[in-house]
Amino acid sequence: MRFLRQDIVSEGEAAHVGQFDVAFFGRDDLDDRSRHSAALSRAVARRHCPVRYDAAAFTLTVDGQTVSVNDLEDLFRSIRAQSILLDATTLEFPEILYVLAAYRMQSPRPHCGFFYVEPDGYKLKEAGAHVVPGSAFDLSQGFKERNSLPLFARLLSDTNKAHLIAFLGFEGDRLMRELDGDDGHFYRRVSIVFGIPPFQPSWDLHALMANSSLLERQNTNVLYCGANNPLSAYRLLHEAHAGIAAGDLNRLVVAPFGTKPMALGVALYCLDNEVLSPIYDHPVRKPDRTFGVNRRHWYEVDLAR
Amino acid sequence: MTAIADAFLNIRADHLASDALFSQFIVPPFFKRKSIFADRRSVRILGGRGCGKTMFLRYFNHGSSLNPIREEIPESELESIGLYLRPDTGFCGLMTAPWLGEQRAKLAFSHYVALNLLVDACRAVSSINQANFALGRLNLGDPGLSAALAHQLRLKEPKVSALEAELEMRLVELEDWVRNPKANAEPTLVSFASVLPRLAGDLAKAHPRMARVGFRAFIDEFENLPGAHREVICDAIKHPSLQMAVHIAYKKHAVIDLKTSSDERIVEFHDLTTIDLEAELATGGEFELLAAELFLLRAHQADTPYNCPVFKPEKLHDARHLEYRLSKQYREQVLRCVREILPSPSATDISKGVVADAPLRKRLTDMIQKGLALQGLEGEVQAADLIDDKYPQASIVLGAVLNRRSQAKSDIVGAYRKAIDAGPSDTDPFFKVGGWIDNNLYGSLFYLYAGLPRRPNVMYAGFDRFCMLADPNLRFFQALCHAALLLAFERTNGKDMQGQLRVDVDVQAKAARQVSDKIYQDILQLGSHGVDLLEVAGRLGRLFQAFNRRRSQSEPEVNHFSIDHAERHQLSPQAERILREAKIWSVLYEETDTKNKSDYDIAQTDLILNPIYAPHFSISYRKRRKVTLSASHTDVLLSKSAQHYEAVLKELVNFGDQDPGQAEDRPGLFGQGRL
Repeated sequence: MRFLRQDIVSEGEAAHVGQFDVAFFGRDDLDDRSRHSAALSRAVARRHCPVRYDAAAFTLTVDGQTVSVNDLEDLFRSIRAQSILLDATTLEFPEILYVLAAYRMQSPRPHCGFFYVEPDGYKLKEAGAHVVPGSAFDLSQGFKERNSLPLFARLLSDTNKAHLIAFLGFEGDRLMRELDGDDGHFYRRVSIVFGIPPFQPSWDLHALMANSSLLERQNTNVLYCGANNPLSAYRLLHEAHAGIAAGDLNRLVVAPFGTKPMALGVALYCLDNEVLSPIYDHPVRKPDRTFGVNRRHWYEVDLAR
Repeated sequence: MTAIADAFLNIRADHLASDALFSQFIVPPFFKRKSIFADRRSVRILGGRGCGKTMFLRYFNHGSSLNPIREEIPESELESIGLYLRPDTGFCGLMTAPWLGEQRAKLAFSHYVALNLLVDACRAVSSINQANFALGRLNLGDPGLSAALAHQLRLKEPKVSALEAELEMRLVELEDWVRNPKANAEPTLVSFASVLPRLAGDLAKAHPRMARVGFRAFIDEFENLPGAHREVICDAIKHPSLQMAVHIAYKKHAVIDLKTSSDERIVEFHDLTTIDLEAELATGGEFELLAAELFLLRAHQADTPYNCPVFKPEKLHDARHLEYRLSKQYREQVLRCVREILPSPSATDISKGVVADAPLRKRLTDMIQKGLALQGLEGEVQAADLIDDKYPQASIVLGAVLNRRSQAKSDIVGAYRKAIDAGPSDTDPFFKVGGWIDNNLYGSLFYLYAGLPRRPNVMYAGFDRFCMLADPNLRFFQALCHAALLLAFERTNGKDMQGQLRVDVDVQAKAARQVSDKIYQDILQLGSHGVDLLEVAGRLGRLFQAFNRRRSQSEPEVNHFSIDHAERHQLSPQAERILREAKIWSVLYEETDTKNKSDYDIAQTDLILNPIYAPHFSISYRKRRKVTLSASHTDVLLSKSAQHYEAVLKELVNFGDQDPGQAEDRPGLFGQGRL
């Protein structure tokens, strides 16, 4: 895996990032930036493929074709491409992970580009709602019960305990729910990662406030990674991987609950390293959860190296 | 050296090695009352979050029951050696029909359970080798296994040591196949319900004293298993073997149907019995004793001096000593000791504090003044003159009674003066049994304190009140003690504590508020509907706050609500779903009303906001009065928009004698502004 480019691009520059064989995108009707980002992606690709991951059936539906995650090779066999573009704004973490996993099996591996568009802001809870740290924003309708991501999940047990690395955002309940469910059983060590520097001044403080109770938790260390920097997330995981102790603490679990660029770094690291076990809680995003369109990010990686 | 407060940090069973667990577990009094795993029937253990379910299960695990520090272990322990499994429910989610196919998924899960229980069974052999049995040591060495078992698990030789060595590899095979069945070969799958009894049969031949050996397998987190996996476990419960009983633990209300693979149901009494930990702990003052013993055990572990010679920490961990601990003298002395450390001011003491404290006295004066105005007496009597330092409880209650329109024609001030001039008597309306003070003093004190939210509300201070806030959750009790001791003594080491250990009531009150605020915030992380639960708790809290803001306190201490049984079925499915979630996570407790006023009252269900949230809302923690809601009001409270709720709130509590509400704090650095 080689990171080729991480840039902020103007709308004009976004139209000239190159020509791609296929653009993959997720739900493009959610908010302003989703519409904008999916349109940017489609504009530079010959073929446009909506993607949806079904967490209950473990299937990926791409451009109307449903394949089991167990048969990912069917995907690149039916949609061959020398270059692919993933719209990271609209694709969810499992969708990015499985599309990349599929094309990683193709020979030669395609060239990959990613768009990510920041919003101007995030929607706050309605006036009168009961708010505590971690619930100030109105972003998700709910979360599905956690289920593991096949091909990548690892088994935890008494003799296989884990170091959990959690990338955090504005929804403070996501990681706390995971830790509460675990109750200290399998996660022996926890590292929490905040997106610093943030996309915009003060947004890091929102994430810190939302997750403030984690800062008081025992056996928890705090790490930082640029909110818009997949390479930084990748390197952070690389260091954590190198630090895994022998003995019972031999698993690395990662929760990509932070920004999408961080999640992209996580997905790329998962592809390269079997030891990493990602967990995901499949948030059901609310319509108009963000407003406006701010900066556009363009990332390129070479999967072949 | 341990800081005394740190001894009360949240200790979870999962963090403890078996040795440590045995010396942390306090045998609860109900072990005396109830037969615990006395027969071979399966047991389901029910309990909410934090009530000690995992601790309870692990106490019966071989690591604890056959622990080398335990003396005189009876031979009967060998008949039911405890094995414990907490499944990795995330990974188990892959052993489901969509990923592996229906039958293979069930077989894979049964194989997973088998491998994990076998790992624990191998450890149990080591525990047996080291245990101090009453009949002396029992050295099994490295017991032999049958050829059948060795073949089933592809062992290099038929020995327990070979089994232990191979199990990790079998688990890796299973993991690889489940995560990627296309790329990895399917392992030979074994059923836990056959392989464990087979192992027991082999062990029975290892020594004559092992002839009756059997296992009891505890499956924790049963509620988090997919339905098909529950069926696999229920199959083993429905068709038990002589050598293995299967016990399950889950949150009350979280599992409705105990179904087997063949559509049979598990039947209470016939197939299994129930231990409801919360109900058992809440019985007859037993929580108080357990909480007091927990406090002294933690103090002992931090080397903190306390004066209670009757308390013997070493007698807490074995049911043999229950008789000693359940004597009246022991109970009285242990409770007295902890009550001295965490003193509870009486309502009379608190009343004296109110009139001695300028802001609270002013608030009382204002309350009386408004009452005098209501009664048309403002020119005739001065409120300040009606506050009596000798009988402040009467003055406080006077404030409430004067604010009642129903009292307009009676000479309240005259009755009050007569009562305080003559002193308390059984005939005056203030002091008589069941009189105004009995009925209104707590409510009036909550009213006065609620108006000064920054003042520590000592109505929450004291060991007994900590118990009422926490009951039946020992984790909450421990959190209250931790916060109180941290505020009082900061990082002082237990050994360095001098004089009588005692925590000031104001400090206790501050701790109660801190802990309550934190636990209220934590609602957000309870299950996948935390946001909804937080909203429901917040709405109910505000409703009860609004009742508490009434100067008249004509319905004091409203802190729960009820729905008529007849109306219950009219609740929307969404409201029912949230109600069930709230009960699973102990945000609300449900009780059938036992105090209907007359025979012809309709049966009702009481829904009680967990008292641990009471300090957060400055409301009463005592279950005294309720508000009866219609199904439509309940629906709005549980599941409709904030606007609907505001309208209902006005409808329910628009009495005209309320103080204005406090401006609600909105957490976050930058308020409502655009980001």
